[in-house]
Amino acid sequence: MSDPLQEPARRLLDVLPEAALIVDAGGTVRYLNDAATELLGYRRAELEGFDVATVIASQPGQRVDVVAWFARWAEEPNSPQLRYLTLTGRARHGAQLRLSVRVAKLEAEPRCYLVTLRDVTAEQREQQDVKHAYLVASRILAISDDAIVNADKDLNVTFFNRKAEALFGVKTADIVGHPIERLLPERYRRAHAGQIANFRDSKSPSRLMGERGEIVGLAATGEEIPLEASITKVFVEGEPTFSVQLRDIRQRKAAERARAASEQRFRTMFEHAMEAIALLDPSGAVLELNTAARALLGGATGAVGRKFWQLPWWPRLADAAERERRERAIEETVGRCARGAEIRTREELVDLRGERHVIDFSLRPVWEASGADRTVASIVAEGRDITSLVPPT
Amino acid sequence: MPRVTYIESNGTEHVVAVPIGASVMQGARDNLVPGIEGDCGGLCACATCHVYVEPEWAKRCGEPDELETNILDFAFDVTPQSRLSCQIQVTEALDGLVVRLPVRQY
Repeated sequence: MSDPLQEPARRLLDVLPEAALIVDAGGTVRYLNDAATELLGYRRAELEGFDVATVIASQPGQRVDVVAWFARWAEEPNSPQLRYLTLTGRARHGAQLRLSVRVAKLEAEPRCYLVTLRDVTAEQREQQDVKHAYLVASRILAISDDAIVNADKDLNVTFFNRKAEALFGVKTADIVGHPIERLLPERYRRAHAGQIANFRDSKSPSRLMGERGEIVGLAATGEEIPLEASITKVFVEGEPTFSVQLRDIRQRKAAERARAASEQRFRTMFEHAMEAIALLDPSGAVLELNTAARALLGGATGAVGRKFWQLPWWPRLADAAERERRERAIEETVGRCARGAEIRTREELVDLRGERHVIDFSLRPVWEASGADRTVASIVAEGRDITSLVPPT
Repeated sequence: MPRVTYIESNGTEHVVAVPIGASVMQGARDNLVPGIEGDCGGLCACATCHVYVEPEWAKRCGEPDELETNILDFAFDVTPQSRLSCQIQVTEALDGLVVRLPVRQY
C-alpha cells in the first residue's frame, strides 16, 4: 500500500491532541494517529489497510454512506451540517461513540481524506438530558393549574403558560416581550415596580402564597381579578429573572361571600326565633344559645361552655338539695338524648322577678353519619314559653 | 391558525395550532411536543426533526429538495413518507396536517 503521508506530516499528526484518520476514497484506513489509537482502542496494525466501517459506520436503521459523506464534506469543509451531524464510532472494547468530524481532502495519490474525530458522546448525552429535563419541567409548567408568568430584569414577560392565557384572556404571542404591568390595573402599576425592586434586592429567594396579601390582576376584558401570588427570583449571569405563580381566587371569594351570607341568614333566623334554642355537644356543654334562650335565663352571660343543667334556670331557688335534684334530672335527660332519645316535656320555671313560666321543652339528637355507625354529634334543646296557653294552677 | 396533529411513536397525539409561516418543527418545539429535537434550529443540518407525513398530506407538503433528501441519510428508519419537519412551512392548506414521529431522532 502506497503511503499518502510524508514523514514530517505523519509526525505532525502524531502530536495532535485530536484523533485523526487518513482514509482513501475507497474507504480503506491508510493511517491513524496516536490520539486515534487511544480513542478507538485499536493498534495501527489492526486498522491500517482495513475498511473504515470497522470503526465508523451507520447505525441500524440509518442509510448514511460514511465515505460518500467524507467526500461531500471534503468539498464543503465549512458546511453547516458539520456543526450538527455526528457519526457513530465503534471502539474496540465495544463502546459506541458519537463523533463530530472534520474532513479535508489530501493532495495525494490515491485520493485520500484527512478525517479528524472529536468524541462528543458525553456532551451529546448531557445536552439530551438537559433538553429532556427542560421538556418535562416546561410541560409541568404548561399544564399547571396555576397561571405562571416569567419576566426578565426589565419586567418584560418571557413565559406565559396556558392557564395564564385563560386567566387573562391574552395569547402568549401578544404578551411575551411586553411589560408584565399590562396584567395589572393602572392604579397598582407604579407601586408594583417598587415592590418587585424591593424583592429583587431582598435576601429572600421567594415569597409564597399566604405570606403576602391578595393582589389584583387585569384581564383583557377589563375585569379585575383577585389573585394570590408566589414569586421567586433566579439570577442568571448576574441578571434577575422572576417567576410568578398566580392563583385565581374569584371562586374562593365567591364561596366565602356565599358562606358569610348563609351564616348571616342562619344567625338572623336563630336569634329572632320565638323559641329559646340551645345547641349542646353530646356531653351537654352549651355551644350556642339564642336571644330568646338568654332572655329566659334572665340575660345570663357566660353560658357557652357550661353544662346545660348548670345554667341559672332557678334563680330564686334557695334550697340547695332541691336545686341539686333538679340539675341531676336535667343531666339525666340530656344523657338519654345523647344516647339517641328524643325527649319532649313540660317544665315550670320561676324567673328573677318571681314570675312563673310554663315551658314546652324538647331535646332532639342530631345524628352524624347514618345506619348502624351513626352517632349523636350534637343536641338541639328548644323551649317555648306556653304560660299564656296554660290555665294557672 | 392551522392545526397540526403530531402523533408520537407511542400513539400519544398532540393537536396544536401553528402560525402560518412557521415550520412544522417550530410548531412542535413551541408547543413542547416530545420527539422532535430540531437541534440546528431549522437549517436543514441535523436530521433531528424527522417525521412521517401521512400519505394524503404528502403532496400538499411539497417535495423535499436535494439537501433535505441527503440529510435524511442521518435520520433513522427513513421511509418514502419521511420528511424533515423544519422544511415544511405551515400554510392554510395544511390545516389538519397529521405527522407521525419516529421512535428516535438520535
